[in-house]
Amino acid sequence: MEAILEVEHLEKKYGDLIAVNSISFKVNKGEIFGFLGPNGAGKTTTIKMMSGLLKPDKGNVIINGENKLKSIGVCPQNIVVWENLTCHEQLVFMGQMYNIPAAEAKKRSKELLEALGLSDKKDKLAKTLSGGMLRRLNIALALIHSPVIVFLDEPQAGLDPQSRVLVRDYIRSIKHTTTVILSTHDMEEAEKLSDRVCIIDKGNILALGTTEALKKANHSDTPFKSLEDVFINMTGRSLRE
Amino acid sequence: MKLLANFTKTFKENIRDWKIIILVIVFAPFFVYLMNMYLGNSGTTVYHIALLNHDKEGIFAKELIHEWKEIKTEENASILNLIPVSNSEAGKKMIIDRTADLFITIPAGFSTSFKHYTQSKKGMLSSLTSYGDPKNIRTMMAASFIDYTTYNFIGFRTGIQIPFNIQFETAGIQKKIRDFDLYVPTMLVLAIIMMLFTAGASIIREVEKETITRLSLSKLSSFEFMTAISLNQILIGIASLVLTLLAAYTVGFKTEGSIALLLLTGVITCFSVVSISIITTCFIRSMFGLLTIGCFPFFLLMFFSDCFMPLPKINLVNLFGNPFFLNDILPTATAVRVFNKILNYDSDIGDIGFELIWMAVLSGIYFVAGVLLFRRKYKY
Repeated sequence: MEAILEVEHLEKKYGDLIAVNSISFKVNKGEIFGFLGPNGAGKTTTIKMMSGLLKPDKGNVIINGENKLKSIGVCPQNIVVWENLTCHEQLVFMGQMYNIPAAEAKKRSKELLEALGLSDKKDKLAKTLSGGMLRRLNIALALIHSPVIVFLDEPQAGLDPQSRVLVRDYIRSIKHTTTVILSTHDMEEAEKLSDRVCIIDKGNILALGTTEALKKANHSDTPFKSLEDVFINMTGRSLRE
Repeated sequence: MKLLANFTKTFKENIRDWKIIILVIVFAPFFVYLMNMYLGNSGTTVYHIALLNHDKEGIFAKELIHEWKEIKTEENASILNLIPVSNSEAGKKMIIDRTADLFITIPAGFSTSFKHYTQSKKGMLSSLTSYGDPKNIRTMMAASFIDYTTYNFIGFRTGIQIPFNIQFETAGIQKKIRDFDLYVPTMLVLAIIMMLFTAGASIIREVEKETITRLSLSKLSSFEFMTAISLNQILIGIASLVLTLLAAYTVGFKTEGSIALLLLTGVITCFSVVSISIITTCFIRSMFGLLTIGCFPFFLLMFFSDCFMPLPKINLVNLFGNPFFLNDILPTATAVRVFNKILNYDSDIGDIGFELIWMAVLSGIYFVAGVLLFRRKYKY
């Protein structure tokens, strides 16, 4: 498999706290890569460094063989939209910010709105949308420029079951053109979607592989029943801040 | 293309967030009407004189009082408002309360001494006494009117001619300037200073809602981002300036100054306020911060731009024959002077060129500093 993203000895410290401790991994082109960890594990810091929003203390992020962070999409955990723009306007605007010609951006906007079930809200201001609709718009904004890699941070948080299915199907449908790095606390969703998962805690990678391989990696004779069992086994039951 | 798209997007957001825009745009016109209520109707300022006349029956005292009442404007309105008082305490209290600008006492026997002097040309007239607050500039003005008229009256009635005369001429054009007219330039600058909030809101909105992260990921430069916001704010500022000027017209303000120069000055002033707003936003992260901490630079700008009261000018240096005042480190302070020259003295580009260049250069420095600070703060 061809690696589209290579993370080499990535490290970030905040004072004495080691948020990310020299982690290395590769993400293959066209896969959905689950990036899992409890709160404060270092996921968001790693994603920020991979997307170029945060400068690492050490290490490299190589995308498509280049040490340049380009053609990346980021869907943050928070809903980040322009409240006083319509769905269509903000998608076209973001397209233009990525140097996509207006006509092409408009076409792409229509495609995304249709794919994410927002066609009838095309001309509605974002501030009038429901939480679920905003969540889908949040995803669309990350994909308007057809990035080669997209980071989706809790993309399905707060979605109703119908919307979850729609978003899940859509994420699956784009993986051939856009590699997806999925960060979530929803183990069931991660298991359903991810080709491989990486479990991180306290800045260190605890496990990396397919969900089936991780489930079988139990030291006892009985494999884990679910990814959640694997996760709890590795990260423990203690509550995090 | 990015700049245009960003400009269009910010414009739409501003129009849809119309409440803050309306508030900003009508603020200065509202103050124009308020200022006109206090200063506009009187045309020229009226000075209030508390008068205690102990020489009620005296003919010369009556004539002198009549002369004071006859000091009038071109519109035949009295400049001195004489308020009779019954005793000295009442007059002094009016000075302390500032309900009178000057307190004059005409002594008993004033007319008798006057008559005696005109007949014998010997002795002295009984002295008038005036009482005022030297900290009150209106006291000095009122005293000037009283002194000038009194000396003329005495000279005329006694036949004593003072071998000296002061000829008064108006500065610049021969135009009668009301007190209200002198406040119009300040109101125009106030209209633009209000943009500190709309410009700040446009920037802080992106920070607070984290949309700045999306723009940062798209590699939109800070310069393009700020330029788009600045252009939008200049439109708002010019709209506010024009409305303020129209408001002044509706209450009788007249000018023959160049409107093109006025607008050019307005654009530069808008740019300077946006630049200061960018710097301000580097020290706050939320709309709440803008409306609280943001008030500090707002009031500083108002204070140093004479919006509260005219400040004495501290001349730091002369550059190419032009005075450079301490207040001029804020382009809005220079703008008040330039607007005044254009509106009230019909100044042309030659008269205000130095100030305009100075304002543009200083605004440019503030803008670059603001963008660099913003980039440093938000890593963008």
